[in-house]
Amino acid sequence: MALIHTVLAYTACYDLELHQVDAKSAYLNGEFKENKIIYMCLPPGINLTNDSKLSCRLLCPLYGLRQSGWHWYHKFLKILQETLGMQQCNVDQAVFYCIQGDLLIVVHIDDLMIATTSMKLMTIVKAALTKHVHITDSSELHWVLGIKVECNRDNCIRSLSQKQYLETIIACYGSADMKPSATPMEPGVYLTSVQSPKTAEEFTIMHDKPYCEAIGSLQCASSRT
Amino acid sequence: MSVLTQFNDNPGPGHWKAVTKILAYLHGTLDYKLTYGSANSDLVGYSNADRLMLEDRKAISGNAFIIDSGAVTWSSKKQELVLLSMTESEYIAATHTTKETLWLVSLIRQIFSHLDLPMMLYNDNQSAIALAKDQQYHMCTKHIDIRFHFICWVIKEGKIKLVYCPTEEMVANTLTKALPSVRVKNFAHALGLRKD
Repeated sequence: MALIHTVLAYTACYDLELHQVDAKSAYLNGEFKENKIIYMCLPPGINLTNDSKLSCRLLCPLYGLRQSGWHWYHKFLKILQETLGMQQCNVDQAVFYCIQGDLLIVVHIDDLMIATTSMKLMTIVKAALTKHVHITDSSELHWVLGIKVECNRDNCIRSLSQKQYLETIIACYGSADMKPSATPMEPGVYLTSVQSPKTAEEFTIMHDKPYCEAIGSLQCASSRT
Repeated sequence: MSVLTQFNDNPGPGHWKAVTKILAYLHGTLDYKLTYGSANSDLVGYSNADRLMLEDRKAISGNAFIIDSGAVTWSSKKQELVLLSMTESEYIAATHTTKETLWLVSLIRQIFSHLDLPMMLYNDNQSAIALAKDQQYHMCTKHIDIRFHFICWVIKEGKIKLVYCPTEEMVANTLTKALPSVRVKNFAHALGLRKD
């Protein structure tokens, strides 16, 4: 997350174009090495012959194959490095950049965040990518990992909001008559394991409370914005 | 949050009340957004520790990094050791923050811009700063493990600079302890959480 926040902060600072592109069925783009042969049992429901021993050889990695992600990574690495001439950042390997400093791509599996200094360059990069993989162009970046990104180019401001996700968890774990509070935690209230339930009565109160689930959701929210 | 997760295995009604309190706070701040821009400033870091050591005498350390008036990375974590003084816990919090700093600095220098070094790291404990600056042998600090003296080496290299910042301006404060509502609001604003 730190990487994505940093990239967003700097794209706001330098007023860069920021677009989002999604690679269609990314894993199928991977390529096996010549000496790599993988066989697969026929999926249930396909009866080509009565021979039950028949299996098929994979021509490209499929979703569900353990090494698919690895093959996709290598294929994409090759596209970015050899065709687009980009460098892989050795601090975070999901980042690719051009030495001229006008192009930056952040990869998250099959989602790409592309930042460029001009719209013209953006079009060129997208066209170059299209030659190698099928992509869905979502134009300007609006959503990244469940965070809504808004952009005010006039003032060079980018803002991130998790309103939608928070509304869901509040609806899920909160009560309808909840009053907004000004602090997340009351000063002077100390939580210890002494407060853990001991009597049967207390256990019944806590029995149907989705404590772990709520904590999990909140923790996820707190790491994002 | 990090306090509440400690009771995952056996939560009581008091803990659940604290969870609903957080939800109520989020309910009241739904329209706030993490905003970058408007300041054009480079990376600064804040590190802080708190002595809220009621359960097992361990401190909570918090840190936050701000670029262009918005927070880019932050954390709030219980320290792994039992400590004897506030200086120690602040010193250890600063060491952990240093590790994150080095990562951020090398990322930014490689892909974005030339970042001026040393980077400013703010701390609100004078004695922890003094301890990091010059390694004087002292009765009260001689037991601190070598790995926490990592920060001295980084400072000597000129990569970071520990600077004092008064507690009132220490934005990482809000990540380590419960604060009154006015200060929560101020620090949230300082971290970049703003309404349109």
